[in-house]
Amino acid sequence: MSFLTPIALPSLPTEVLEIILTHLSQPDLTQCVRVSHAWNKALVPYLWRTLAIHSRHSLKRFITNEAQQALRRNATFVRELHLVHKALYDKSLPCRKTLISDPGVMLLEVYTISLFTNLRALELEPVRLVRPNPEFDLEIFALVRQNPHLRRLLVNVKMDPKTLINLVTKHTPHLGDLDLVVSWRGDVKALLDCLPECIRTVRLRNVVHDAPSNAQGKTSDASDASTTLARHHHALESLHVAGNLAGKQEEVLVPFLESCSPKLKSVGGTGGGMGSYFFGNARIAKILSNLGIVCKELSQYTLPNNVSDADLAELIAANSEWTNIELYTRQVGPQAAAAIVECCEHLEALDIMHNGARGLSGFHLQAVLGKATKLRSLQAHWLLNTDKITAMNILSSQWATTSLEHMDLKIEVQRAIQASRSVQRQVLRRLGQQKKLRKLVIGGMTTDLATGEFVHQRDCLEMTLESGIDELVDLKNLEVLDIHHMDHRAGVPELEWMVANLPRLQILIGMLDTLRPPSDEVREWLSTHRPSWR
Amino acid sequence: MPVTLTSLDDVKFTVDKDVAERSILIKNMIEDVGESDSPIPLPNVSSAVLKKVIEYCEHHRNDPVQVQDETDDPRKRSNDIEEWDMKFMAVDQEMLFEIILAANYLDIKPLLDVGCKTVANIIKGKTPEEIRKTFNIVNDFTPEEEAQIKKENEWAEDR
Repeated sequence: MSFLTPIALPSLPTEVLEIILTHLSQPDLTQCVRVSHAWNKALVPYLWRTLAIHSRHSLKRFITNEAQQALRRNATFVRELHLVHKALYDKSLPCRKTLISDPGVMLLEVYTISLFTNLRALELEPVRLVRPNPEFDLEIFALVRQNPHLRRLLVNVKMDPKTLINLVTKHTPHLGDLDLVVSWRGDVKALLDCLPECIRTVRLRNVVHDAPSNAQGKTSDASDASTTLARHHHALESLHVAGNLAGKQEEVLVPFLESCSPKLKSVGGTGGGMGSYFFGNARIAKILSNLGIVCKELSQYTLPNNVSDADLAELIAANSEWTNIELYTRQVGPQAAAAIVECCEHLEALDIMHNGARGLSGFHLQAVLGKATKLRSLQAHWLLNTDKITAMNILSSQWATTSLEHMDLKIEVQRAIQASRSVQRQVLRRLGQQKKLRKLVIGGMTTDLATGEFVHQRDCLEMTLESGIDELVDLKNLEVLDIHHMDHRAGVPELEWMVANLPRLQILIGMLDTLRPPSDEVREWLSTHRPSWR
Repeated sequence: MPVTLTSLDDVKFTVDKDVAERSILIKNMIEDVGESDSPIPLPNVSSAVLKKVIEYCEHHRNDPVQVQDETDDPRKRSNDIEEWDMKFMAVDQEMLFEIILAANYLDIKPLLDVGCKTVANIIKGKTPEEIRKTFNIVNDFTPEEEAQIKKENEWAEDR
């Protein structure tokens, strides 16, 4: 296009002007609106799109007469409002009190607030009040009520339970994003249920579920009152619920989740000693799995504080895509152990280090080793006397994985039998086949059955050349070898072998902490050749 | 396969089809008309501007086609203009605006984006007086009016 007069910015087509404006900040626009009448007229609506006053400095400049008059003219352009300072809207302007139809609710209409009717986003931050105003949330109520196009609402102010639910039920039909930052005590189920169908993201950061209609006492899975919701929250993409659901997460979350579609991609939230609300509960985990959300890592933090063996088993069995099971401080009973074996096909890391695991035995570990082709890390060290992996376990079948990098096991080998050395050699050969191994920890304290004392493990690998340590010759990646608390017999020849054949071995533990005091020979060798080894 | 474009002032430009099709408008026209030798008229673009536009399209002929993403927040876009584009956009203001308008009309989004970003960069950081000087704008505010406007919007100045 060729103009006889120069092209002026304000006369550009709107769609072009808006692209230019996306690269200009609000401060830039304050300069632009002073350039000329034409620039002012075109750009003031864009300058006033966001009203987010966060500093005292800006606030002081906002409560001038000029700015307040401009506010009255331009409030209609405001799309996003961040209410931080009460003074923002509480000037000495006339205000009136009106009784509205909701019983017991008094609406305080502050003149300036009523100007905002075009909001798409509203952020309510904690307000610094000179005197606390108990009717503050009613004013917010009014503000939301007159902005039916609200799409995004962030609430970080104290709000009474009924108000919030009313807000959402009746007055925000287009709400897409709700972020409840402040801690809120109310009926979480009712809140979730009344969310509009177009809701996309929900974040309840610190809620305490308090539903007056429910009596105390557990809602066990038997008393299932999951009514089918009228609404389908088919647009929901992300849900986060944290806080304290008073043990009622099934009652609160199940109906809501059942109203969601596979668009739901992200869930999260823990609290109240219940671990993860979503993945610490088998029923909820199943619903999520139907929606395509599968938790692949089971950690102790996912679980409720006092999960029973049966519940843990159910949880594990709920999906077979686990890649990581790390239950470090949790007891694994027989049912859960069996479930782990069932669902370990994709397992990459298993960590069951609790001192005193009951039910998880060497049989289970061997079964996992036989099934988990991708296993990289197996840590089951602190098993007490009855729970260990025996040579017989290990040799009973092949291992499915060749990618083990980290093994931490207590291996029991009978030393008194005649074939002991041959068995030890075979065990070490099996370990030696894991060429990616970088960290190997074997042996550990056990309880002497006779005396009940905690002692070094006696029925363990000797770790000598005669008994097969040379089978580890292929472990060129081995960086850590830990054989302390074992009654092994490694001496200088073995040390020399290690230096010659395990080039990456940096850390060796267990030469100085043995049942019998280490020989002078060993001490001297270590101090001259490898002072860092012990 | 060459395509002929005719400017507002009747100048003909022959370009390769893939270059011409960087303009979605032209691309759609070609699809509608089918294989034809007749030139495509562009009555809204002068020859001087069309020449520049063609230069841009030829340089960027192998760029991947940008996918229109509705949820794309423009503020999150990478903000660097590449060097060639910067040199390309170092033209007088009238030409700059004409390129922008032509890119809008011809629907060449990358060129439109670069043009708009260039204009924004010119404006950024300038006082009102500096902006007026740059764009040759007459100040039609009285000093009192301008002071009033400043006070009205001062709250938005810091960020």
